[in-house]
This record gives sequence, structure tokens and C-alpha cells, in this order.
Amino acid sequence: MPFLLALVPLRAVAAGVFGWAFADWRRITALCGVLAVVSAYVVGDVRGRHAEAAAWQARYDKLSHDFITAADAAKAAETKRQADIGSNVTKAFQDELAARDAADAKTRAELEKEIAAYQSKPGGACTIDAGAYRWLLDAKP
Amino acid sequence: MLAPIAGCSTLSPDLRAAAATQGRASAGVSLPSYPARCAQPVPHAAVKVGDQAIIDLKRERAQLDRANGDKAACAGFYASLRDELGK
Repeated sequence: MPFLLALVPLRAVAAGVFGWAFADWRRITALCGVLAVVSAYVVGDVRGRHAEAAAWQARYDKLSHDFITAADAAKAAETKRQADIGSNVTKAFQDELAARDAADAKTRAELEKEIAAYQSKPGGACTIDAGAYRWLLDAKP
Repeated sequence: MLAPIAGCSTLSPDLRAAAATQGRASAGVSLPSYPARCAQPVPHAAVKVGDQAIIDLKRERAQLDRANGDKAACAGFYASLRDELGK
């Protein structure tokens, strides 16, 4: 509403100016000259603002692109890091198992030798009969 | 007017750090397969009718040693993985 009220005196002023200008062709020429200067200024200002906005947009686009590129690179690096860790830890585990299995095979061979030596000794051996076997394995008769 | 952003042609340290954080977060956590050996049961020692009980007990204890060894190795696998991923 205040804007509309402001138009009332503005209209009166414009009517006054145009009334004054149209009274003489030289005045019209002068008014056109003033309007041309003002228009050129406005157009120049708008162009400048557009150029400034375009420059900001270009910088924003570059920053955005650089940010996305850096984030993608960080993601790829993290994915590779985790894959390398998984691979290394798994390999270390497999190596440890292989070494332990080799040692275990040796221990088992030694155990069987010990068992053979033990069995060869005379003495009352407590053997597993059929009932003990079923009970030991939770097997039904 | 453009002076404040004139130096933004490359990422600032803060933006670079933010990009790295976002990249790491979007990568998530990818774990290797759990070793099959860790999920396998260690079988009991074989028992036959006529076996001496003490010998079966000896073999069973050897199997328990093996099972304990597997358990320790699997725990080591998990601990290593957690430590390395946490770095």
C-alpha cells in the first residue's frame, strides 16, 4: 500500500516533466538525452551484475567440482585401504593356520608314536567295551 | 567484489578435509570374508570298540588343543582387522 500511495506524487511529477518537455522540441531532445544516459547506465549496471553473477557461478561450479573430485578420490582411497587391510589380515591368518597345521601334523605323528609305545607296554589297560562306546558317543543301543 | 573468492580456485584446507571426511564416510566399512576355518567345528577324536580309554582321552585332548588353537587364531584375525581398520 505505501508503494501505491508513493505512485500518486510520482505520477504527478512525471506528468509535470512530460508536460514541460512536450512544450518545446528542444526540451524533448534534452529529455531523451537524459533518458538515454540513464538507460545506458542501468544497462551497464545490469550487465556488470550479470558478469559478476556468472563469475561467482563459475567459481562455485569449480569449487563444487573440485570438492566432488576430492571426495571421490578419498572414497576410492578408503575403499582400497580397507580392501588391502582385509587382504593382508586374511593372508596373515592363512599363513598362521598353514604353519600351525604343519606343526600339528608333526605333533600328531609324534602322538601316534607315543601311543604305539604306550600300547606296547604290559599292564592292565582299561578298554572301551560296547556299552562304554555307546555311552561315550551318546549313541542309542 | 570478487576479491573474497579470488583465492578459492583450489580447495581450502577446510574444504579438503570435509571432502576427505565425506569420501571416507561414503566408502562405508567393507569387511573381508570370515575365514571358513573359524566356522568349522573341530571333530572329536575317533573312538572304536576295543580302544584303550586313556588313548582315546589322549587323542581327544589333542583335538581340544587344535580347537583352542583355531579359536586363538580366529580371535587374532578379528583383533588385527579391528586394529588395522581403526587406524
